[in-house]
Amino acid sequence: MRNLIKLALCLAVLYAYFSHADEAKAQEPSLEARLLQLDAELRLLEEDLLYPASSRVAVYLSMDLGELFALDSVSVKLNGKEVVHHLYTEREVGALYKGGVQKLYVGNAKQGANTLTAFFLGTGPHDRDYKRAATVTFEQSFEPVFVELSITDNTGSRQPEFVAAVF
Amino acid sequence: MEGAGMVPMAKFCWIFWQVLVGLLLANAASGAEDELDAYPQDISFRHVFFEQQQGNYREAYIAADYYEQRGLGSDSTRLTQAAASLELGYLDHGRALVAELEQANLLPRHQARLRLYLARDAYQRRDWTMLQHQLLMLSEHELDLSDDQNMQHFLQAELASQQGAFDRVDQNLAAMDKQFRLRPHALFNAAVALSRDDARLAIPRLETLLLIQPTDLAGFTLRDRARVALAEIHLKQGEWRSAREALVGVSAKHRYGPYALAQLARLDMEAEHYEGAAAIWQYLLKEHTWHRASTHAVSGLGYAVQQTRGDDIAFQVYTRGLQDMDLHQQRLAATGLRVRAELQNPDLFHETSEPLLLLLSDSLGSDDWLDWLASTEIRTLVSRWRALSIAYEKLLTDGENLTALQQVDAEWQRRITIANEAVENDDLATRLTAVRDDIVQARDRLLTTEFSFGDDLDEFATTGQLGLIGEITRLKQRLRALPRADDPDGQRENIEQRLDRLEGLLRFAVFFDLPKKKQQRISEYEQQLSTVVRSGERLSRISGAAIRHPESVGVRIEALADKRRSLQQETMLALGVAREQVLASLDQLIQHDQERLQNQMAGLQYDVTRLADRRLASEVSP
Repeated sequence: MRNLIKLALCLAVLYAYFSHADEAKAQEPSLEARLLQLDAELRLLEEDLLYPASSRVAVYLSMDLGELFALDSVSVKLNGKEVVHHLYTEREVGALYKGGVQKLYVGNAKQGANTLTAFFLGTGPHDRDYKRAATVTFEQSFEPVFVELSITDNTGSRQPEFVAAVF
Repeated sequence: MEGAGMVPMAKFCWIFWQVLVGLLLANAASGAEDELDAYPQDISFRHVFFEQQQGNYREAYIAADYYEQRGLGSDSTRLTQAAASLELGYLDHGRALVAELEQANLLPRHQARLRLYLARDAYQRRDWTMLQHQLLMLSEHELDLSDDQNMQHFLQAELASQQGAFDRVDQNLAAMDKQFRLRPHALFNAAVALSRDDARLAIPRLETLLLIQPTDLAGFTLRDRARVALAEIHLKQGEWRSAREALVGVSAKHRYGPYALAQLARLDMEAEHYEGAAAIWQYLLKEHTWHRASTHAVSGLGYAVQQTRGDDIAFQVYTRGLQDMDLHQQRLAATGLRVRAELQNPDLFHETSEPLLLLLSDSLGSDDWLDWLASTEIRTLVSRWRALSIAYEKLLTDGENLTALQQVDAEWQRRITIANEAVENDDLATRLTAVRDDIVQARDRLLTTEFSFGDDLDEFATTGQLGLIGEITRLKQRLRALPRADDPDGQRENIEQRLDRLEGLLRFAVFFDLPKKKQQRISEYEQQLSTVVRSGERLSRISGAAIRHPESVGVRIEALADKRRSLQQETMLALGVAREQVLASLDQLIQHDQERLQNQMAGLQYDVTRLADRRLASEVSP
């Protein structure tokens, strides 16, 4: 009887071991997933090294429904120097309309006061060419700064609004 | 007392009514804005969503992972990461993520999207039970994007086709956006399902499919395929005119061109237009010699020629056909060996490899609707092989990037070391404090001291003023030093008095400007203090740089470099396996085609023997 109990225990332990091993194997990400994870870790490291938190500024862009303004391109100047110029494809604009947000720029800003100006080019109401700008000043301290550029439809005035703000 | 309670009640009712009206109005006003409000306002999710919506699934996956590691991830981000995994074909990993998320507290809309992803995954695996289970839990109104709603209808239609519930197929086709890219596929698959019972039942759906204007190559190919299928049905029913009408518009140069031509040849044979049929069979043998559609071209041509030009020519056609087939068999085997040799080394997938494989797979194509998977299988394997090759080359680039980052890190460490040494050795902090204290002391002295005319105000005089005062002082000294004998007229006192008056005027001018000068001096001290404060901040930054850029960055780089090397080895192995799978699949197809050829040759051999016997009989008989 005692031997029987010992045998049962051994079998239980073996079962638990192998089922755990199977489970562990099943949970291990595939090679392709691990390749992507490596990519993500590399990006993180690059960002930490090249854009340290104490000087990092990230600029994001979001759009409203897009009924009053069709976006063609955006350029951004940081302290008077152009840092990014982006031309939009139809797919990108579609993704923005659906609520997505584009990570437009990541870079370094000097300590203290900085000025960021974004220029928006596109087609406005009545199919007219539209160029507008939005400016924000921010204080770069030891933490990263996030700036959001948003294009919204003001249904009251039937004009698009362009806002740059730190969030 | 009761009357007093009525006033608060009336106020309550008024507030309640306002709130209720407000809620009703809010609901009435909701519409397109719901789509934006549906998503959490966190930027991390919306950025990942942005990439996913464009079809950049790799970017979406990496961004989601990035935010996760930054501590900015959320269930919504992981949901999008799971979707990207499934789209990229990392099915096990995607399913594992989805399984975790099923336990999470997601918004209803996200729950619905999760079920849609599971349903799509089940569909791709042809797991109809799981597909049904997921679709049952999914309500149309829970999905907020039109693409997702159309996808749901597509999956419902596919399931209904599988189950033979064609009323439901029609309902879902009607609910689908007319321009939805998968709508023609749903129609075609329903036609295939219907044709299992009675091929004629497939006709209305195939005809509906032909009315849809395609917008891309896949759409044009599917339309051609539908025409060929429709023609096949009509041919089997003996409806020659309808079959011919169905084939109008199929391009001879596109994928289903050879099949359409073979069908037209058969129509001509049926109508005993042997010249026309012979022309088509000849064209097929010339342009698409070993295409599946040309399987019966030799026998077809032989028969047509036999009818129009006699047995002798037909005998030549059959004999030539046999020789060509024999040659082709050898060539097929040789091609298989050549492809294997070319793709053997290195393991990486080259841009020239794919056209070679596609050409081979096309020539081994099938004329059976449901067997087109054969070439699709090869394409799937080739895609994986190509993706691994790209990943391998990316890993090599990553290695170079890591080396560059190591150099950047080393430079950082060097600069931090130099800066810290400068700060410590030159005792900059103490010196800066001393300078600050001196400035503060000087400024406070100015602020608290009341100067009078008799005080020493030289520090407030301009350079010119000081120069003049100095000159006057020197003149007075020279005057006093003059012997009396050199001043017979006694002008010395007069000149001295005049000099004293001049000095007095100058000193009065300095005193007169004193308030302005004091203010200027205080402003200068304030500016100097600001400079000192900024210098102090810079010193703090330099001192803090070591904390913010710790040596662990170097450790991270090493760890990633190790991980990269390990993944590189694993990818190399996987590349070898992927290549072998492609080659094995190819070998299988070649063998299948060899067997097909053998059967053809057997049939042709029979025709040749039959003709030879007839010729012999005609020679022997008187």
